[in-house]
Amino acid sequence: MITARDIQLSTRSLLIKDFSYDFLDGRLFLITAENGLGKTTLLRSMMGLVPLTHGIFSFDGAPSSSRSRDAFFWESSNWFNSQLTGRDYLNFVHGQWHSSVAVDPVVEYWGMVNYIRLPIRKYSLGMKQRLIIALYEVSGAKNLLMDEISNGLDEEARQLLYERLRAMADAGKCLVITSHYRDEIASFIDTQLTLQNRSILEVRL
Amino acid sequence: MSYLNFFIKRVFKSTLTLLMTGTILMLFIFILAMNIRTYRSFSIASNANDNLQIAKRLRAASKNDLSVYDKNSDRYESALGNYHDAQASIEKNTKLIDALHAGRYQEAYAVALSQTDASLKMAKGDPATTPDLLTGLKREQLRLKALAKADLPEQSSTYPVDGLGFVANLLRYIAPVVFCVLVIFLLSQVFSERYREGIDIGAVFPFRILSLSAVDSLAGVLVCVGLVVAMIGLVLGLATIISGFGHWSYPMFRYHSGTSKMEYVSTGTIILQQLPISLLYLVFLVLSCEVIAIMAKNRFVTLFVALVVLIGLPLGTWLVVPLQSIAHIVPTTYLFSELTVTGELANSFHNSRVCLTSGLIVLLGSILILAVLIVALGQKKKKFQSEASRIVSK
Repeated sequence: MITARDIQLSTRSLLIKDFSYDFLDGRLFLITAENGLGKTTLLRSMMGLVPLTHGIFSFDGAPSSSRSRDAFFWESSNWFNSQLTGRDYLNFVHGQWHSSVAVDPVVEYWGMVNYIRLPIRKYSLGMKQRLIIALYEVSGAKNLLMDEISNGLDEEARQLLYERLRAMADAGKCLVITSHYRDEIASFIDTQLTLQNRSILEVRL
Repeated sequence: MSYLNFFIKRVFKSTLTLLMTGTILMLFIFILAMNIRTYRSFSIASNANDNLQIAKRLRAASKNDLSVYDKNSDRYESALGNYHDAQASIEKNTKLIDALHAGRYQEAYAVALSQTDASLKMAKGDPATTPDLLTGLKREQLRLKALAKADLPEQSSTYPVDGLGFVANLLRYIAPVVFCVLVIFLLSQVFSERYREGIDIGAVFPFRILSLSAVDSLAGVLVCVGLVVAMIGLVLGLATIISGFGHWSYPMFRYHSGTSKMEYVSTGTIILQQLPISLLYLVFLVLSCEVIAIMAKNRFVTLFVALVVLIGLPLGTWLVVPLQSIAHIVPTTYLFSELTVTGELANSFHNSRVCLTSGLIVLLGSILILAVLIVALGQKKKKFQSEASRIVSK
């Protein structure tokens, strides 16, 4: 569970104020907002990548700054070193997060067998995105924060992704995602939150 | 362990690493090839052969003069003197060459030494002799004595080709500079990779920030030491296959500690003394790159600053004379570890405090300061992250 208490977040200007919320386990949360309102910054702040002006995010009771292997966030393919292979990243995440999730079935599920040992510089955007999804799965982390995870995927792959996300939530994980494909994902999510006027509000589905 | 593997992969799967390592190895092999081509022209044997040819020509000319001049004339006397000198030189040089070929090195060096002694005596009596020439002759005298004592075949000190001699020679100027450039390029890339858009993405890894920095430092040191040792090992192996390993006890030049008194000690002594200073310098280099990357948070800025500080400063010390008087407290001075332990740096900088002891103290102190700086920057970030938590708990 991810808990937000009295969150106030600013970058150049105030983005979010007075946000308190419990992201419960076993649920899939969708955060929507217009571009530039701070969705990515919010996810970054949840992981302690950008400082909060006020408040605290905690993962299962522990502050996000002392978080260990219970959360996973990989913002975008820009975070990859293009000279390494997808397999290098999967092995690293699997080992570093002490995951019990087997790597090979995930690679097969996402159809990456043919290119997983190639350097990432040879991947298309869709291939990189599949790798990011595989990293989330392989991490075995309980709390997953995903920023526009469906970007670059074709319709078929997006459906596959949503089903997989639903299955993960049903398995007890807490998933917080942002996506532009609100309508496509609507039937898979439990809760939608929208960020507007510096507040995050729950939207009745 | 996963992170260490991941770090190593980031270094060794980089095209830059392969390119730079390959270029450096090719440079070393090229130098070895040039040495192999040149060293014979700068040996005692080659010198003796040249002298022999000159003496033979002189003897032939004198013989001709003797048959032409009147026996009672001054010219005849002079020609006779020249003939005897040439004959003596031929005998000496033949003896020297034969002794060298037969492996009777002490006998050969004794002959060479007597020739050098004579040259030194002549140079001292000549008012036109420069101090450099005198120093050169005295140094040669010491070298021949040390060689005779070690009873080993001569290796060129300027163009060594045996494994140990070649590596020891590389470690004087070329290897420290190219290894430093290699480490800076590799580590500035790997360390600054943690920062995207000014954000430390290492914070999403399940580490405490301080542990990640510690693992980064450790991995950096291991990778750099491994890379340097592997490259030196490869060059040593290649030179050994071609010309033999050399000898630990082969005499190497150095200035007696803190003075300008010249002496020769075994290669092993020099290498053993420079080893700790080289290792400490590598650690210093890695930590410096890490600190610069943490502060700059950008690949190109890190690379630029690291090059200026870690390459510009040690090279600049040779050019900026005022820096030489404080060179002993500047850690980058000790990049040239071999020149430090041989006292050549102290002699060049006219600063006798540049020595092994001050090198160890300054490098250890600098490493400590850098480590504290890394911890402090990590604590600052940690404080930054938990600031909000404290506000809430109040």
